[in-house]
Amino acid sequence: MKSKTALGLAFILFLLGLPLISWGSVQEIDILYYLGLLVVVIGAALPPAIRLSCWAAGTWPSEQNASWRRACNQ
Amino acid sequence: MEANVPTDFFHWIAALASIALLLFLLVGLRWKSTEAGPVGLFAAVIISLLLFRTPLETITVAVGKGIWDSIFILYVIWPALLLYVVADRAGAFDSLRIGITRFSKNDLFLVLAFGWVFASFLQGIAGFGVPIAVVAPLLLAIGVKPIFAVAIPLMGHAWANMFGTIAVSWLATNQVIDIAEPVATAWQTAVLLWIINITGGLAIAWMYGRGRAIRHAMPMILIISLIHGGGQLALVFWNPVVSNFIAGTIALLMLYPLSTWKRYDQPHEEMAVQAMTEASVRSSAEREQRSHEPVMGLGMATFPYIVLTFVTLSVLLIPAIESALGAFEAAFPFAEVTTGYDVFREATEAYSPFAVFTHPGTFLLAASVISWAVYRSKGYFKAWTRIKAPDSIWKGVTDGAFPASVAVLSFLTMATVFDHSGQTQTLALGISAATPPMGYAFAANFVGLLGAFMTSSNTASNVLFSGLQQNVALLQNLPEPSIIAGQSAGGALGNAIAPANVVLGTGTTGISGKEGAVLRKTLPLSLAIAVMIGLVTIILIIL
Repeated sequence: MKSKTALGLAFILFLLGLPLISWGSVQEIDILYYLGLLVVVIGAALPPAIRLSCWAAGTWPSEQNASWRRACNQ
Repeated sequence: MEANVPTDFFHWIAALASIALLLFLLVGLRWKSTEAGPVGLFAAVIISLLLFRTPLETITVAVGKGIWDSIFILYVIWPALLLYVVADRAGAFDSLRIGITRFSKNDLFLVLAFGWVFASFLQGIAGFGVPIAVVAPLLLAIGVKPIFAVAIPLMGHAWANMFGTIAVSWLATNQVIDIAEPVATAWQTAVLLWIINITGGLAIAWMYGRGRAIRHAMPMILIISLIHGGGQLALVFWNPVVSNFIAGTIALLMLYPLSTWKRYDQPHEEMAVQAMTEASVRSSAEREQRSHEPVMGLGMATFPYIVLTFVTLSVLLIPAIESALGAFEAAFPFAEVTTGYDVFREATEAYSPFAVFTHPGTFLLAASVISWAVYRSKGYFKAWTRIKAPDSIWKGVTDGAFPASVAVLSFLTMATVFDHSGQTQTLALGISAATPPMGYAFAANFVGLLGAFMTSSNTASNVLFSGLQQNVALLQNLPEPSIIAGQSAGGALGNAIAPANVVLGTGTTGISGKEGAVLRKTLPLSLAIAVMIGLVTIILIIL
């Protein structure tokens, strides 16, 4: 995944979490509430996860992670 | 219910850990803010869950509120980037770079004019990060290196935070605490803000070309600072609400007579210039002028900023327009939450509502749309495309806005988690418990600094900490006006190092991910200024 795509996705996931958390908390619908938190956590985890995968691809070069390395340089 | 947060050394260190981790990743390891921010957020969440008895429900509501707080800032970042990209794709910055050389041939004068005087004026009328988002690309256009283009307005605008934006922070402080001596508090705050103002000017000259630049710029710095800091100090006795706006406007007008002074009209003496790109703005502009004619004149190049100023002032100065546009507010509701240490946050029908049409983002958006329409009707986009083939406006905006947005979302959700878990109170109470009265007087501005660092807002810092500062002043028998003044000055200064503010600049200058490099410029300077403010706070108390 390109870094810009990951950041765009992270941004959308953060924004998606807000109405879920707000309505879930006020209406006391636990599933909405925690779904909202989960969505935000996934969004927040994306950029560090990309960094980690780029670091791993650079540390252990192989055929399989060559595409990762290309994506990291974009 | 009174919060009962732990203030022992272990919890104090634990509360400090996620901020220290964030700074270490940003400044020490040079991580991008999009990566360091989420890691800082996760650290704050884990510490809240394990050590501050914070239930997951409280964390979730804090995260939701943090996202909403971020939208307030993102509504500045996206339109500011749009304004920049519209101007850039029409060739306005190229024309500005060429045209500005006819206005003054002195790069140091131009850097101070944009980075200090114009940034302060923008803070006076718009605030909320607009000075950084707007001025950083302007400095870039006149040949300032990208890292300096961000660091300079950060240092230049900080002093204008407390009484800027029509004194929103001052009014908010008056709302959260009952200020016993408003005049004494206002003038002591203005004294401390003057220090930030004059050291801000000196810091910009220092960044530009060290000691020789300071010597060359000294008359200008003294004149402008007398208007900025002295003017504001005189005006707070009359009306704190407009004190910064009037001082900022007079200083902006003062640029014209200064630019006709031979000292600032002609190129400055030879000096080792750190802040400009190797090919100086003048030679590069002259080269470009030889290779192609600018697509527009200087007036048209500055048109977006003239429109921005006009739109903002129309809304701010005509009460009928402001009240009509301010009627529509947006907000989200949240349930009440608490922690095992009795940190309680009430349920709210409308958390932190903001008036969409009087928000600075709307002014920026209006300026962008009007500028786009005018530039398009005059054919500037096509003319510039024949000289250079730029990317689309959408690509230009999203390249900067996505990283900036994720960083701001991470920082502000981290700040609300900090607040809802009681870690903010632990940090502030720990400082007050461990220091003697004069030590606390010295440290009061560091508490304000911390609040602004976390929230990138003088207002939020004062809302968070003014009550605490007032209580400690009472307990330690310190004069309240001096302590609130220290808090407010620290809150203003903290805007120079707040990561979310730094991201505003890196996003609009195309150097997303270089936030650590900017902080390495502004952090030492800001800490040195904070030490000065602490010492002057003590002097104000002794006097």
